[in-house]
Amino acid sequence: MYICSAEKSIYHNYCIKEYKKEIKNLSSKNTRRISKFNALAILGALKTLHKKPYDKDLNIYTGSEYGCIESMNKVLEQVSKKDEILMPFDFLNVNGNNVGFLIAQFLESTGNNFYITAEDFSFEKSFELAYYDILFENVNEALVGAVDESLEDISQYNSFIHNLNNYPIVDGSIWFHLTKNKKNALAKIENIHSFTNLESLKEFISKQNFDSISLNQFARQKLLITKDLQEKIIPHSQTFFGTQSAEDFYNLLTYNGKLLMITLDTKSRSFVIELSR
Amino acid sequence: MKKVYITGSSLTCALGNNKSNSIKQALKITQNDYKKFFNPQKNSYFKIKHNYLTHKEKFYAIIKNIVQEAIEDADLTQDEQKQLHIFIGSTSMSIAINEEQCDKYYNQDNPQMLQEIGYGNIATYVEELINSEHKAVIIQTACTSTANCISYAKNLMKKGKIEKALVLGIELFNKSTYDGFKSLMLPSQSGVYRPFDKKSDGLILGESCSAVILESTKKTQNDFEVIDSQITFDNYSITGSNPNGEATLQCMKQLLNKNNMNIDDLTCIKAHATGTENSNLSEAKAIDALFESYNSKCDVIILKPYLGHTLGSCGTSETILLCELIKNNTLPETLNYEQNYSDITFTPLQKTKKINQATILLQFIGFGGSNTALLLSNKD
Repeated sequence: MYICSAEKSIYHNYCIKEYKKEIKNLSSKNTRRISKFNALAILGALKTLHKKPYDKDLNIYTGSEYGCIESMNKVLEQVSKKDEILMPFDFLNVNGNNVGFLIAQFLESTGNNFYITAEDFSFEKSFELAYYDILFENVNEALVGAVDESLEDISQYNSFIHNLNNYPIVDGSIWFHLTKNKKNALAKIENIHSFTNLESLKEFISKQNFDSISLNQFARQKLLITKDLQEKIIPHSQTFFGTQSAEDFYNLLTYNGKLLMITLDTKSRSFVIELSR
Repeated sequence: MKKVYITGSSLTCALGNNKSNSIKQALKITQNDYKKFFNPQKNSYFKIKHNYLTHKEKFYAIIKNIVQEAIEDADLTQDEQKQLHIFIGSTSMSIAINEEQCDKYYNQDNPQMLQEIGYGNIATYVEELINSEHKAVIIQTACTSTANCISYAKNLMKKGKIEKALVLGIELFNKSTYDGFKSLMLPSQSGVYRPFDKKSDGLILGESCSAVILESTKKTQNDFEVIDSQITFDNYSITGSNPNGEATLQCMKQLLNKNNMNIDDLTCIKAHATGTENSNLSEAKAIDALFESYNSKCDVIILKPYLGHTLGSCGTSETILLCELIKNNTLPETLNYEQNYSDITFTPLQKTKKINQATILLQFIGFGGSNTALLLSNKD
């Protein structure tokens, strides 16, 4: 299985108009009632497949930690204030899974779409479901994304989330196109693994011969970083968004050789993607 | 390839506060006394009949009870519980908790507008409740959410990637969903829930929380096997099905074809049957076309008048209700049904049948174009 295209879109909490403007450069479809979360996701997906061949039957997997938080706030305000009436599109915008439908409309694709959350592993679990769907031949191609809005407008947002280094929080939309076709591929996906404890992960790492490795915030905190390992760790971003590990994974694609993405959660469970380039 | 069985389940809904009471009540309801069970003058949705002080207390207490009951039903040891991979499906998740917090914020009883951001913490709560070693996953595909959870868990189990799974569905009352459906003008005005009926005038929402335990060996002779599943996409509209019913037809047809089955192999089709005109007609057309293409018919079952439309949790709640009724020798009649649409040739099951072994196709359809069909059987 191969990653044949990928696209990273990180923005500093832009307003929705900016995203709609960028979408209009890529598609003539109507963006009028689309929320910021959906616009961010559509923009990332469109950029990933822009001028690239893709199977119209591809499945879409959108991973998100916080979902459509701006729309959610709007709806909560409307239902709390007795004199306000909830409008249909505001209600529909809080249904996270609508993002897949809208992306499919913009891509004119007909495959299935899924919206996935798993605390600290929302990107990883989306990637895992896509990987197995292709491996089990349920589908030939998949578009896997990690999308999260900045929480800058939420008071004390860091008290809700796992932003260990208090990095500035941004809007992020990062997508990967997975296929069985190795032509012009960015990388080959060799395998994926998950471990339920740190010891098993350490044992796995000790047996691996790899060239570069990405570690998420928990992995950097919990793994003993030897000198040898330190030389292979790729730099990590100085900003943060909910599905941050997708950015580490994207950055890994600029290195060559055998590559490992390792993410840990708060309970030291881990997820590993093995790539070769 | 491994097999997958439902070895344990639990259900709370308007019918009863646990599975046993829900099934007893469903077995008791007849058309003649239906209004004693659901009276539209007193109720605007199918409500779980248990009072809680807060939405937060309600949400977590119900999850706790349902997860524990399912585990007890499957008779899992503590070590087996740890091995459970958790899949959670819902449309509204814990939005009622944030609504409660938001009300306090506007009443100046609380400085924070939100109680929580994102829903990963719900998954973590379930992991910790059962000491699962594995990361829980939430799949949101609207009303097919839990059906898709069952489908994914089944796929991973059949290929030996996971050993056991807990699939949890939860849908509790919240103002956002209630007002949202009203804004779309989908709720029934008459208060009579009669999907697939010519006089059907909309849906009635329902609360439920339900869970199934999936394992690769049977625990009892009567356990239902999850044989297979199929998912298709309808790109017609976010809120409505394509009137031609093609995505739903293909979903059912592809499922039967890949299992070398035809209509004669099915005891019944459990229709999604929301009660809204567009969805009713599209699905009824698909079922009609399916029967026509196989030149055969089977019974069509409709469960929402028993539970209400339980949205994302209907994949587990309707699967459990139907499987348990069949185990109790009952294929349930269609409540409130009077008259067919003029161009539809099949009629939903009119009179309860005595059947305790069945092969069933359960159809689910969601906002956002998702169609999911599950194929289950407890036949020898």
